[in-house]
Parts: sequence; structure tokens; C-alpha cells
Amino acid sequence: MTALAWAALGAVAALVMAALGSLINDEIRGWLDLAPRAILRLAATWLDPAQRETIYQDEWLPELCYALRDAESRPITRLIRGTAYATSLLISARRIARTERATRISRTPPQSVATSTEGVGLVHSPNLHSALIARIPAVTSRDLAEWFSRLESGPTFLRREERAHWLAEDAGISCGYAYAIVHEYELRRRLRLRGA
Amino acid sequence: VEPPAEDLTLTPKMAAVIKIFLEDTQQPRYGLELMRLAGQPSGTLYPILMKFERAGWLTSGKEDIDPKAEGRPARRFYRITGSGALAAHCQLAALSEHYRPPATQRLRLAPQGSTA
Repeated sequence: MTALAWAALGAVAALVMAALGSLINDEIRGWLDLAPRAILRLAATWLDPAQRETIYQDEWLPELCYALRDAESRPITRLIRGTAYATSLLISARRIARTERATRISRTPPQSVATSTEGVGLVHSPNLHSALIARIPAVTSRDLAEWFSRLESGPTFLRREERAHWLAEDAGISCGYAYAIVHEYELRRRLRLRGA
Repeated sequence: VEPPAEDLTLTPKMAAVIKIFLEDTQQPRYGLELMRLAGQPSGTLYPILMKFERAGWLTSGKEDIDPKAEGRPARRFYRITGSGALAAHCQLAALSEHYRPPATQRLRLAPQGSTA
């Protein structure tokens, strides 16, 4: 065989190898995406059939697709990101299923100090409310009587939340404490009126 | 009418998540973004989001995209409710109080090189 024939054969072999390499690359890229999806599907088997629709289809899978798409040009990043996301869910899938069941079953109307006629609002449990009220002098350096007189000298509001927002902004305290002060003020005022 | 938020006792991990929502109460947040910002893995984040949603602190919805055009399904987003924001402020204050060191105690450090 002449040198020319060897050179031609070599060129053809190089072309075939390049084409094969490209095919292998594509094949590996395809498998890289399948691995996180397979792990996620495995995680979903721990969920109840009803949960699969809401948790796996509506939440996990779209988020994984977004993660993979976001790192489209970086296959290694894509593999790491997708696998980390799916593996963490695989480890916690049983706990997630339990949490979902527990929160779904235990969701009952809150036992609260707020009444249902008050519309939109924050509902403190009586324990939390008492704890916040007890901490107010230490946290704000003012006792409740001072806060109540500030409320009385302030503007009039129809809703408790608006009053709490005003107090929080006016005095520079957190909304939670402001709400507790306003609520306590209203409770005591109601008691005073009943006693009168 | 938005329902009132139920009381939830925050753990530090829950606090890290809800704080992100308080930074911009109108901003919808997505799972991956929350994982990155809160430094929590997916397996920790989703149960937390479920608790917040069930307690009425968060509300969720579907991303407004055309899945065919985008080449991916629409994601679920979360947004904090008005009553959830108030409840979060309150509980974060309670948590901060819980972890605050006592003001009357001075921190005494042993001099370097000394043995206890």
C-alpha cells in the first residue's frame, strides 16, 4: 500500500473517531440528565399517590428541569446540581411525605385570641401573647402604661393591624411587639368598659 | 379575604427561610432560589415551606410561563401573606430574644496561653 493510501485511510479513521467521539459525548450528556431525574423518580416512590401529583409533578420536577436548563452549557455543573437536588429529596422523601400528611390532617381553625370578625390579621396564641407582653418592658425600655398613653395620644384607626403598623413605624419597634401592645390595650379597654 | 396566620414556633432553619420572604414581601420565591439564599438543601426546605403554607404564612402559585415556549414545566412559587409577614416579624423577635445573651453578664475571656 502506498503512502498516499495510508494517509487517506488515516484521515478517514480520524473522521470516524471524531464522529464517534461526538456521539459518545451526546450519549453521556443525555445520561447525565437522566441520572438526577431517575433519582427524583425514586424519591417520588416514597410519596402517596395523591402527593405525587402535587409534590413531584408540580414542584420537584419543574424545579429540577429549571436547574438543569439553567446550567445547560455546563454538563458537570448540571450533573452536580441536579444530583444534589434529587439526592437530598431522596434522603428526605419519607419525612416530606409524613410532614405533608401531618400538616394536611392537623390543619384546624386556630385557637387564638383574635376573633373571626376581625378579618385579616395576625393570630397570637394566648401563650405567645403573654410572653411578648412580659418582655415588652425589657425589650423596649418602656412599660405598658407608657405604651398605652402613646396609643391614646396617637391617631385613631379602625383596624388593629393599621394601628400596630403605625405604632411600629412611629416608635421603631418590631411589628410583633407593636401588635401585642395594641392587642393588650384593646383587651384591657374592653374589660374596663365591661366593668364600668 | 386572606385567612389569619396560625402561630408557628420558628426554628433557626425556618427563620432563615422566612427572613428571605420579609426582605421583599411582594417578591415570589422559588425552591432553588430559596435553597441557595437560605443555605438549606431541598430535603430540609420543602417540609419548611409546607409548614408555612399550611399555617397561612405563605401562599403558592404556578409560574406564569408557556411551558412549550420555555421548554420546561412551570415552577411553583411562594409568596408571603400579609398576616404571615406580621406573624413572622413577631416570631423572629421572639426567637431573637430567646438567643440573645444576657445583658448583665460580661464576657470574660481567659488570657492567651493560660490553662483552665
